[in-house]
Amino acid sequence: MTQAEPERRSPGSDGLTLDQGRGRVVALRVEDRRGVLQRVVNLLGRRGFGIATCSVGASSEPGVAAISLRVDVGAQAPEQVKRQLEKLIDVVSVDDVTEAGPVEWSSALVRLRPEAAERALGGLRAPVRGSLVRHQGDRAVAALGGPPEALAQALSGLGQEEEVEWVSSGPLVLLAQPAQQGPGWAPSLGGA
Amino acid sequence: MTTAATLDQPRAAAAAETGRTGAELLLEALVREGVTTAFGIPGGANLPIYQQLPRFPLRHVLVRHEQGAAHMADGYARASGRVGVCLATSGPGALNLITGLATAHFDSVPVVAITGQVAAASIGTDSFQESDMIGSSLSVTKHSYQVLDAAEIPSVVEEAFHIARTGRPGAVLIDIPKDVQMQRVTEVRERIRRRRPHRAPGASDAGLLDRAAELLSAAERPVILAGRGVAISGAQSELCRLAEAGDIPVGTTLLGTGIFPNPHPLSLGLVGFMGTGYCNRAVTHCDLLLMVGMRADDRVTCRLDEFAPRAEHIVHVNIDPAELGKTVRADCQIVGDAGEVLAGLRRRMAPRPRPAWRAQVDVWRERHPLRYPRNGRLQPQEVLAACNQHLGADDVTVADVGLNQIWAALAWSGRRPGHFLNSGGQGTMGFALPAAIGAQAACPERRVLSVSGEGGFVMTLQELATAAEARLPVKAVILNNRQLGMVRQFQDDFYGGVRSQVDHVLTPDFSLLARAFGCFGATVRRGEELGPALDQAFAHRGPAVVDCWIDPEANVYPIVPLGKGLSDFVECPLP
Ligand SMILES: Cc1ncc(C[n+]2csc(CCOP(=O)(O)OP(=O)(O)O)c2C)c(N)n1
Repeated sequence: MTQAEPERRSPGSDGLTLDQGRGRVVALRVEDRRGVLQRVVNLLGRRGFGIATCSVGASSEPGVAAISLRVDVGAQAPEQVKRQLEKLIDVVSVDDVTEAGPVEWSSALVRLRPEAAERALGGLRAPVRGSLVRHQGDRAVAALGGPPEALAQALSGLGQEEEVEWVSSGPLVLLAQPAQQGPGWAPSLGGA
Repeated sequence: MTTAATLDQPRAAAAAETGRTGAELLLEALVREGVTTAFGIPGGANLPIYQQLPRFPLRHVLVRHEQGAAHMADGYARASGRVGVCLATSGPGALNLITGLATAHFDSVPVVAITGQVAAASIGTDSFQESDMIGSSLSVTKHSYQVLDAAEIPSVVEEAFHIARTGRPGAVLIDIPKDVQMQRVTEVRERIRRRRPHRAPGASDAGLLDRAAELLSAAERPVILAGRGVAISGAQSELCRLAEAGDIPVGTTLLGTGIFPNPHPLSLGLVGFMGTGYCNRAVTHCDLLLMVGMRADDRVTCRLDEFAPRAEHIVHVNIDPAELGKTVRADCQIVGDAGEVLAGLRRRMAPRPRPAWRAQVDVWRERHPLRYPRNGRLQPQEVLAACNQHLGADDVTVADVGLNQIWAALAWSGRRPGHFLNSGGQGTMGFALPAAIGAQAACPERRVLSVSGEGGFVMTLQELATAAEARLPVKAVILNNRQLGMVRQFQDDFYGGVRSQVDHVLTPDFSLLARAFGCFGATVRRGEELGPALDQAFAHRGPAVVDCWIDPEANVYPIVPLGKGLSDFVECPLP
């Protein structure tokens, strides 16, 4: 008989690293409506899930926004992330894609001296790519993209360069094959 | 015949005037949803609604505190199964609803709250009586809306009611800025949704039902625990049939009180922290546990790793998938409506008597009876037994929170679900009186009894004025121990006996207070005063308060010490 562990561990840790076993990768589609992000973030926070990364933007479906999440489930059962998120009325679909091997892609903007930028871009190894997007005065800004772990590695490799500064995004998540649509899909408010 | 041309102009003018305001659209939509009663208080930000209110066939009960409005809507909904509605103005009015909404939402009660908001253009500027109601209510509602265009009000209301009452019911809040209440519109607009806001759980997975039925049939020592979900689904007779067919003992959660007949040879009574000894023993020794329509919070399980330790299988049925595997990690998790699943299970199972298991449960029943001391002082059980004599099978008891709640649940002799109401998930003191008033509004033909400690009673007693004014003749019994009793027992039993801040050195004369509010009042200090006081209270046509001075040292037993497992319950010391 499987029981929850007697001692609850601490709620999801902060920070960007995904703790082994506690991390879930979630692709969320939500009604593109004011306040929807607040609902998602509030729910994750109050259930003790840590948000490692979160990317929000448009999706191919009009009126539907996409949220890509990496979540630390903390003391909760892993399937709770999906089940809890599904309770939000403005959530259109939740896919816990952790095991499905989704495509994950992060991007970063790096500001450094132009010579250093050239060096950095030249030293990138696939699948991380980058290009120079602006040259202004004695600085250049390069845009990098790649799978989150590889990109993080590339960024940490920039540490030797002087006066480098970078920002990076949480990964976007998409399955390489369409996810199976769960039950309950209906175009409008039907009887229930 | 008048020509079209001559008709058109006045018509257009009339349309501009007859175009309806947001407030009118709201009230129309409420009436369309079948709302007949609402509880609330007007204020600056919802005056346009109140201006229109008298024109609509709605009974509005003017409360004395918005928390009371939310509890009344809650009690109304629990007693009737309909959606309860409460109204408040912005800022403090709306914030005062929060405790009541949390109470309802935690117990899966359908309540819709309608709050006024400052004018849309002022939102976010900290204007007078502004409060962020979406933010403030996020964690205590199933969903919430801020309506910024009156044309959306009808569809928002329809959706809000749908969400409140379908699936796992809960609280929904609609926040409407004052200018939107006054906005005139001639055409309404549908809100677009990409997902049905509540998925009906499809027919429960047949394969899982087969498996659960197999496990249940094979078990030697099965136990069923059942919660409020069974009542919401109206599945109490289905539950009874399954239990009787399989000879399976049934325990209930606090919120499930009344869903299984008690007394009944298979009834185990209350499970958990203050549950019966025989129920907790049975759960500890069962080889299969079926939990249906319940969440299994820590008041039920106590120490989680000692909950049902001998169960080879746990089957958990809930309409809300997120409740499955959240605390107790059942190996057979079934999402579905309690009634449907219970019926499905019964169809798959051959009747099977289990005399050995029954005999074992009977041994525990005899060894661990509910008992209380008789020391010459008035005992709560005596008061409750006397109250029960005034109540028929259809009548309603609402308990507050504390020792009084558990005494009332243990003493309750009713047989019907939805007739014993209490705040299980939040344990909100002050719930009973306003919830009883709400229940009385829903069920004018029934007697409604509220049972409180004096601590909880003073938290919402101003609603006696509401009861008297609205002619809602609830009978309020106070089990007055001059103490925050449950806290005092915790301090005695678990915190080294240090009694800290639990004595009510000064308690008001409640019978005088009751009369000051226009109610009947009586005080009972000795057993022989009890019968006559209750007779008078129940004979009185209006609301009544009976203040019963009980033994201040009376405790609830059995009780599971904090941090211990269900089987470690402590019983009432023998005299
Ligand atoms: C609003 C609220 N505040 C505090 C508590 C904590 N609490 C639980 S039981 C209790 C004592 C209740 O005392 P009383 O109402 O006199 O009832 P009794 O236990 O004596 O029957 C308290 C303070 C609570 N449940 N609700």
